Amino acid sequence: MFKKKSLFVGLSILLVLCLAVSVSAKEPKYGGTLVWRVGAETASMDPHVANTLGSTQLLSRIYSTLLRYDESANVVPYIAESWKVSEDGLTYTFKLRNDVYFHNGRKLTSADIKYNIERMIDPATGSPRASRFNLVNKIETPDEYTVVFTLKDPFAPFLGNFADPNAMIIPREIVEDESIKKKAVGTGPFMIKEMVPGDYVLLEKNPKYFVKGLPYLDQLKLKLITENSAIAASMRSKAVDFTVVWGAMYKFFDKMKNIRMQDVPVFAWAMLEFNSSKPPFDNAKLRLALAYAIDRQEIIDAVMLGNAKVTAPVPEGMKGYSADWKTLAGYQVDLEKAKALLKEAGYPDGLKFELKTSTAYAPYVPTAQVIQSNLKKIGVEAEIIPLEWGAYIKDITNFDTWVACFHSFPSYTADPDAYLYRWFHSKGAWNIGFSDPVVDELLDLGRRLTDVSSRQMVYRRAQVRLAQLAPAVYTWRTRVSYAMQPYVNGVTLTPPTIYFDGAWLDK
Amino acid sequence: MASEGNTTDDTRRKNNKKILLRRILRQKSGLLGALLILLFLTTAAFPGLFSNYDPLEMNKKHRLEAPSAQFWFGTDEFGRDIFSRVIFGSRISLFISFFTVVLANIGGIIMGVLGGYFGGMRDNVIMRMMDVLFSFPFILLAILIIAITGPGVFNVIISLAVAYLPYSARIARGAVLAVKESQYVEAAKASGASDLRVIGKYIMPNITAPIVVYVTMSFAFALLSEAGLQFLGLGARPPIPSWGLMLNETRGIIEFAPWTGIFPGLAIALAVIGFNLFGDGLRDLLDPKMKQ
Amino acid sequence: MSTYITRRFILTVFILFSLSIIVFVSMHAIPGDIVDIMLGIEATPKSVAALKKALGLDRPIYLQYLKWFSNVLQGNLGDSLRTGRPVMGEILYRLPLTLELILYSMIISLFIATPLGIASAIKQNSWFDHILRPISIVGLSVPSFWWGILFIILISYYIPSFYSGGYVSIFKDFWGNFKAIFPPALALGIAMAAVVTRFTRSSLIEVLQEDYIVTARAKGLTEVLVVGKHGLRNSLINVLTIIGLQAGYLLSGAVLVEAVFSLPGVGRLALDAVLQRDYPMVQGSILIISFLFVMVNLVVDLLYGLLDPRIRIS
Repeated sequence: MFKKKSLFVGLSILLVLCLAVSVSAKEPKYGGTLVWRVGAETASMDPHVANTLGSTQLLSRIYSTLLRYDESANVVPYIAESWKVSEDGLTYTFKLRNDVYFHNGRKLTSADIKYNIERMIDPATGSPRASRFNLVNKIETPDEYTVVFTLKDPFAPFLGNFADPNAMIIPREIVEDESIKKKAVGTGPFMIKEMVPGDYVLLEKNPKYFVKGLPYLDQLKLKLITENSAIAASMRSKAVDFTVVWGAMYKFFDKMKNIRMQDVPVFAWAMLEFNSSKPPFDNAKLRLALAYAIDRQEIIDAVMLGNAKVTAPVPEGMKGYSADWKTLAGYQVDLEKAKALLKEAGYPDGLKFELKTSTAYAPYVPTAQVIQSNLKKIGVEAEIIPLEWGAYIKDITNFDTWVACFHSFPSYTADPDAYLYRWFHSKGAWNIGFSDPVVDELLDLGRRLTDVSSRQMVYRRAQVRLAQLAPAVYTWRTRVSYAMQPYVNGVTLTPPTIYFDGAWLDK
Repeated sequence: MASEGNTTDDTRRKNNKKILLRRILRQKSGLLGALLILLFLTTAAFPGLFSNYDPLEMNKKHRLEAPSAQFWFGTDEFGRDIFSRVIFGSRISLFISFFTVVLANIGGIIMGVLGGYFGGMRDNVIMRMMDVLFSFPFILLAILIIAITGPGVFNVIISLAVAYLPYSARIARGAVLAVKESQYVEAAKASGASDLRVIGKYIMPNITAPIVVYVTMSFAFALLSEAGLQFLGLGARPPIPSWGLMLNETRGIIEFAPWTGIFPGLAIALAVIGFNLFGDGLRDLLDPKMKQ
Repeated sequence: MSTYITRRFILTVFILFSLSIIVFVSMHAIPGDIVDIMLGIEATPKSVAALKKALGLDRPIYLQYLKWFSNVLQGNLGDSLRTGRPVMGEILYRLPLTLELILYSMIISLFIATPLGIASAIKQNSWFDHILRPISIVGLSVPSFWWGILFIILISYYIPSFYSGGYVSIFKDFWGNFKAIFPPALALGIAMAAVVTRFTRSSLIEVLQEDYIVTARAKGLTEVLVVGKHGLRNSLINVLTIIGLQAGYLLSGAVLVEAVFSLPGVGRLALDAVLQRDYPMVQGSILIISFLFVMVNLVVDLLYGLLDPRIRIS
């Protein structure tokens, strides 16, 4: 019975994978090494702690999650083969596969899931994922392959948190013997074979991967290359098989022959955030005035060379939740309105403020420069403070040390709650000093409602309100593509991350 | 020279002629260096005279345009005129280099003179401190300091000056040691002149010549390392154009818009060439060995 | 001689010890630490504090230093905070690349510089000399990272087959190693070549005017012998000085060139470690780099004594 079910799940995943990159009906081939160009390394080996793109890229090859997303951002089974949500939305019951083994040979059971979620919630772990599971009241394990989560309140987007590639399941023993600081023992399709910081990480196939028949690849190599010219050269010379392409990189890839490109609707934003808890930006009119002065299209054209789109607080890819940005306050340049608002806000002669951003990611400082040039037109002087990443994080996590900052971030879940709540709810884990009863109410409502169309309405209303109060100015949502050599097949490109378990090389 | 008698008048004259010829020739290149420096000093002092555009002004209609009659060096991704940015860039680059050189050399000379003249324990302490700094690759030292102090023009100056300090201290000390044993210094000491007087009246004037040469040369160092630091994105705050920062900004696009990187690079090279040529010329002029 | 070496040894220990303290203190003075970087934008003061405690970063600095120092005395440079791997292994893995890069660039520069410098000195004021001098000035005035950028573009566009997929050991794949190391070594070596050319030239000219050379000539020795025997040896001493002085420039240049070419050398290891606040890695890599630098200088000083008996080592 169980076997049949898992076979079915395995097949369905396979089917999804095959549909994923619609190339040919060719039979997948086993073997080979795929070289994947990455731009960053992991910040830590502990998946519950690490919270950077580089960490997710590496660790989610090795660990797997309870659920995962497919290419159209639907939640699909992974370690859990099925799930059930109670009528009142308070109880989530997951049925686990019975053939999942950690790389150390131990079988995964429901106790592992319980342990993992508890570890993420435990304040002593310091996990940034804690707030995603805080609503869990208790976790029960009636049998080895069943986990039951009971929530304090109904929480509509709860499932998405299990499909977040960062909600990785680790074995308890590597925490106990502290080897988690240097080792990665997961249940995923690949295992670390060789790790050369600053150069590459070589992964090898996990022969006991629970999705039968996968992975096809013998090895997956994550090669670190950061300079655009070098990335282009590496693709031209076939030293690299697969890379993400975004921003100015399109200029190189648009002209490249024999390279296949595929777009993916990634959920990512870049935004100018105001510290609403502190003067001068505790003044909503002032924030909105600045929003009216910022020319988003100019930022996109100059910094991303046109390869980005204006985005509402909820990006378009989140089905039906996104508001039409053209209708939102402060989304189209109107210098007259901006000046009027500035006057109303009590700054008829403009003001001067420090705009902090980081040198760690290429588009940040240039975007800040366009913002600076835009604001100059209404007499507002933004002084750009470019900090390296560590200093930047230090500054913006302390509300006394910044008034405005610019950065981008990806969302690993496909639900609007995840980031809106964290950023703008007064109880959000990463509230940026902003508090508004209406927004709070709407975001609370969004969590409780289970009906999709009413949720969509609630979130669209929240976006209208957020645009009006402008705690943050959303600037661009980058176009993201993956470029690959013609012989690369079967990589699953989901909005939050990509999966290589179905990838194979036709050469 | 003691052995002059060994050479015939003929070879001497030939040698003299050769040396003179070389000196004039060298002076020509030194002059060229001086002209280059003067050129950059002028652009730094009066950038408005040379550029038709505001270096900060973004222009949506002219993005990433190749060099043309309208934009001599082309435009960057914001539509800013690169020629104007290079011109204005001379201001910040020279400013940083100048104060780096001044700070580093004042510090270096004080330490070098104190150590070299007094010798003993004082010398030991100072020079061991310099040894410690010296064994630190200067770019890493500068990076550490700038990471602590944060970005900004003055922080760049301080970090570079500290990184260069051990070099200038060693040079100054060497120069002091060379004149310390000379007869006039000995004579002054013997006549009971105070240390301060000896340093001020006899040491300083005599080490000026070699040090001036090194000071000129250290401009080249300052320009290059400032560019390196800015190239890594650690330095001044945009949008103030600096040559190194311009190179940093071009990193992602230089391949298809080479003019964005070539001209700032050329500006750095030309300014460094200017200081190197000028330093060379000065050395020939001031080097006692060349005097006849 | 042996007392000299003992003194130098003590000095080296002193330098490395002071450096380790300076680096330790300054690393902790840099705003933001590794915990901030691990947690990213979503870090909260609470999670930062919890994680700091877990990593032992909440203890007083001097205790952290003492722990580090006592480990070093036992030959253990600690583990990377990021990957948990031993710092020593990481450095030893990357050191060959940087050494190779520097060695290659020295070889390249000596191969270019020595013949050019000698020819230019012998044929002083000839057309060759006149052309070479401005070229050498240009060579030493262009930043190495700019050469690096130009080389990458040239290779990427015109000779993609020369693009290296990354560093490989010379013992594994000679050609692959050459492709990876030659362009950055050239970028690094050009400035050095220019300096050595100029120095060789001017020192040889000076030497050729010295009395004993003039005497040697007067004795009827052939020009080749005169230049060869007396001239070269003396200019070698000068070149040694340059190498000693340039080692610092080369190491600094290596940091930049390794960054431009994405090479996993020890210079970039140190730079990345500073940016990532991987404290043990910063300590270890700077210690090793400085140790190398001090050693190079020691070797240069010893060679001085061998080449020129007039320089008394004391």
